[in-house]
Amino acid sequence: MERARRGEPEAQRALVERYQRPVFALLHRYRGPSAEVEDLAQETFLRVFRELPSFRPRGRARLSTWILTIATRLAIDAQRRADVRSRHEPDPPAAVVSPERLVERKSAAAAVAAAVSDLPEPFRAALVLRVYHDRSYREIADAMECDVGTAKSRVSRARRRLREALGEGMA
Amino acid sequence: MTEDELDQILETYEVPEPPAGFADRVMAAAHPRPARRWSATSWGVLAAAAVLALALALVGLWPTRPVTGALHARRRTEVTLGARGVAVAENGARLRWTVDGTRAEIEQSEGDVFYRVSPGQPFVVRTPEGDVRVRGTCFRVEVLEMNVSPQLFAGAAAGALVAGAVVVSVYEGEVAVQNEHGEVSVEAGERSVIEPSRAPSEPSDAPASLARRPRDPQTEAARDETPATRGIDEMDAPALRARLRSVAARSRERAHEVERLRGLLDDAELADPGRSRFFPASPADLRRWADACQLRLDQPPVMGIEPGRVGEHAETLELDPAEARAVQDAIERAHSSLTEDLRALYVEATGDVDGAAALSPRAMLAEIRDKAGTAEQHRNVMHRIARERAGLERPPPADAELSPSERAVRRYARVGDEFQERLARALGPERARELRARDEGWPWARSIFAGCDDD
Repeated sequence: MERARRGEPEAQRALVERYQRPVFALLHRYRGPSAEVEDLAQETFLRVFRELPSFRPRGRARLSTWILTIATRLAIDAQRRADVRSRHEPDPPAAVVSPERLVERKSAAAAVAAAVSDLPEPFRAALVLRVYHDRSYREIADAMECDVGTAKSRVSRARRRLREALGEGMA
Repeated sequence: MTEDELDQILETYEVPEPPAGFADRVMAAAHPRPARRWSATSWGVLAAAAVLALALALVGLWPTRPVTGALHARRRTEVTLGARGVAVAENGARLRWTVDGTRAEIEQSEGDVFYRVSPGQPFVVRTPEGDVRVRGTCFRVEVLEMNVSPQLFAGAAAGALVAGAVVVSVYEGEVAVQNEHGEVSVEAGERSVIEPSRAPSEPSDAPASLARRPRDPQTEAARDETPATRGIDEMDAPALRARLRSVAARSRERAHEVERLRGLLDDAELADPGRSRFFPASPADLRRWADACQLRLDQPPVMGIEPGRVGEHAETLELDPAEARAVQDAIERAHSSLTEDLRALYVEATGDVDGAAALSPRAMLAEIRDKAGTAEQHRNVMHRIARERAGLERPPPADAELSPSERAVRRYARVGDEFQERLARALGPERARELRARDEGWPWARSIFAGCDDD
């Protein structure tokens, strides 16, 4: 990491190759399949390169958590920009995945993807970090700049919404 | 739908691998080169490549996209690994896989997994201690845990894992077990143990109970096997040590479950409209919260590196412009005071002067708690404060020698009341109290710290 911190391209490339998988996974689950995922992933690593000199490896955050935190914040910012853009557009469909929609998608995995993407912010980011990246509540709280209790509540509420959405769809 | 069922469904949400060449594109963006003119030769090469790609696509030789997946089993779970493989993962096992055509690569980082693989292309199971290369067989891989730090049990940051051992038991056929120190071939009825920094052990006869081939995975998955007792009297020291570590890993799962239940409890409390109040709290409220080991804190936005803004809550609190300025000023003063106090405690607890200058109050509080105390001590302090507020316990005397960690937690817990006092000086006590009560507590940040040791 020291070499990457000094800006050596080979070390930076190794860092990208090591962490690109979790970063893409996080962004894909947060934003859904879209061309924007790669843009956000690229912006994540460019920001990692810029801010790496200030990262404290002996601090509380692991490098992986720190990188995922950057990706999360970029994703949330992108979502907010999209929300602003969509204010003048028709209302989005209801959050619940209907049985018909489930049949159309023909698979539980697609239904989960739809239900996760329908979760409102900030529940979605908290859930993705907890369920798919095994981050502790404290790490989620740091990434989302909220208290641990709030992070727990967000994950819990996200799970409840998913239970409702998926339970209804799969009943 | 139960929590377990939800977990199982969520695990089906797989995502594609990062696109090929992504690292190249990042590096190109990070280190841009001067643009160059395309020569006729370059265009020729490009055109030839396009024709070749089209030709490959037409004859079906263009590589197919690999299928990837991941599983953290919450109970015994069967997974299909492409066309050739089936895995039965026990509770606690962690797997990631990539199947590309008939080639498969599985990363098993934790737990106990039985595999059935048909002959064909390479099928590799990578474990923390070595790889198992398969030639068409039935076998079991147990990644036998890892010592786990107390901090990890408490749900704090990970990073203290110490490698354990891996046991490979073969039921049919033959596998190659290898790591950087050596390779052995293990046949049906044999077992090899891979321990850290050693070559895989020479194959030995597996205990009868381990060597017995499980029934068909579906039948096996339905069987209520008790891993903790399976063949335990036939195990040798390495296997027993490994089993012990595996049980420790399951304890960690239980610790996660406890943490999740606490979150659900918090949520249930918040969702109950009759019990969502933070302020004002009646003596009965304070007593009930203390009995439930709850400390409820409502606070201004002062935990970030910069003080927060009144923001949309000017509307929530129905502030006129002059009041909004007074509230913003109080936020900034509260942030400054809290930051200064926590910096002093942080330096006392850690000796890290540079860190104190750079960290947010939230980060300093967390580091003080992690480095100068334990999660259990932290909970105990929170519970004591809740009891003190309810009049069930006397606060410590002013000259008591409290640890930096306890003083930091107590400082943090005072933030909401202190903010009300600051506003009282600017707007008058009645108005400050009225503002705090308008939304049943300061609207910027609310936390419920819950949980007794015997929960």
